[in-house]
Amino acid sequence: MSALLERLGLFARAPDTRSLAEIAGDIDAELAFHVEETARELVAGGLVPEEAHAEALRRFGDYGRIRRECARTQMGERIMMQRVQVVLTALLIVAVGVLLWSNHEARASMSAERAASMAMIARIEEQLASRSPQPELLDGLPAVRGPAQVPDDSGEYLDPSGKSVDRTAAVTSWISTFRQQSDNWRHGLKQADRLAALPGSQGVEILSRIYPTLSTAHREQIFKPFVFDGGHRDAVEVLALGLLDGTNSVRERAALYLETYAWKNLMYGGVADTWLAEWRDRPVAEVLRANATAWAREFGGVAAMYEQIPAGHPTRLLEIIDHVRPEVFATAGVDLAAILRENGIDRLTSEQLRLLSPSDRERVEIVQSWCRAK
Amino acid sequence: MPNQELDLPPGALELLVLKVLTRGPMHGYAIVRAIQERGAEPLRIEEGTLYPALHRMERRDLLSSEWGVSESNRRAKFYRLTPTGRAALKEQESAWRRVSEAVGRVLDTPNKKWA
Repeated sequence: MSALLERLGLFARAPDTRSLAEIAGDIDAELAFHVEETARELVAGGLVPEEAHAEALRRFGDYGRIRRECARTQMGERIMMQRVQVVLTALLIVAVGVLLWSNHEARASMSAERAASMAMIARIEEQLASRSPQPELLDGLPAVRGPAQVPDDSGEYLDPSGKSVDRTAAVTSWISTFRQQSDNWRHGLKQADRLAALPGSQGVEILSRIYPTLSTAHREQIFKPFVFDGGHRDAVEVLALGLLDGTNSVRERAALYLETYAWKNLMYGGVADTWLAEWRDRPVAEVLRANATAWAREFGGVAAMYEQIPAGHPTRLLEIIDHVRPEVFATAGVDLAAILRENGIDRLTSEQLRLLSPSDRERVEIVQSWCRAK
Repeated sequence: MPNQELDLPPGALELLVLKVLTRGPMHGYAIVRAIQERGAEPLRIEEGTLYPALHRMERRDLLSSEWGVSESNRRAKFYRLTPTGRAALKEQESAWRRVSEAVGRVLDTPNKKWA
């Protein structure tokens, strides 16, 4: 496939063979090296380490945006490859479907046909799980990406003591405050709470600048205040920092919290990066509405196809329920109950759910009773 | 006015990168310093913007890269010119000089009304 695309001129060179996590780790290492070398030079010139780090970050520019641009350049090729593969597989599935349909009447055994359909649905589900929802297919949502956040270099920012200062001073103070107890995760969580409480987008702007200076113990805690208690309007942007982190424990946490927004398990290889490329620049309400709708349509579609939902079939879809935080939808003004009802989730009968495992059945029933209470 | 920083014209960063890499392989930090040492102080270069440019140039096969060890004994990504990059430098340098000379000629020609 790669050789063919190369021959067709789609790539100037052979596609990157690294995993998306490796690409993200390399970008982090390369950018961090630059900031640290600049800081080292400034310390040698007489600055104290905190001031040197803040000045190095200022000279570097908008760290979050630059990191994102690098990721897009390097991962775009991989994501394109994945999409080409999805399209080819979808065509193959359609061809098999047409073949099955044309042979439908000639088939002697209904059970054989059912098995083939099951296999086909499983393959479709696998393909759906390995790509992000296609926004242009969702009613009422724009197909174009929203404007990227433009960094605001003007204005005043709050430092950890609550004083209004310019951005460089605020960044320096926040770096210094986090560094007071680098190994103490409770300290990191406490400071993250305070960052998330800053007005407007100040919290995420400061965080994207100081992120490379934070210890692993702090980076593991930094996302919680942006997701818990109804979520923050910049939560996806903050979680994106974690999803591209070179440390597994940080990336796993970010992926887990992102399930509220993505409605899919983002720990499968490549899914997280593809999803992020699609959704990180969009308003949070749009992200929640589109992804919850895609999930509900997929589960509702599986449910509508059978009189009884096959045992084990939708487990991966239903596991998401354990990690989704409905209060985030309320904060963003998105009616999750309506989305689930429109796709018939609340109308599934106990007879339809009979073949599900007790834990899967319980998950559906939790969602149904929640929908009815709304 | 003489001390005011100037924005880098479009395409200039790529040309500067190609030029400094003729010295040999360098990591991004060294590329920025080499550009500044060669007299680019009046130009406003947000240092981080170099990296998306480097990655795009690598994708277009103008540069190749490999991880190595820096002077400070740290792991760093080193870029080097490819044959395609050398050819592009030759072409872009020549085009830049022609544009620059043409603009200079227009600026240096006295207005006929006052000649």
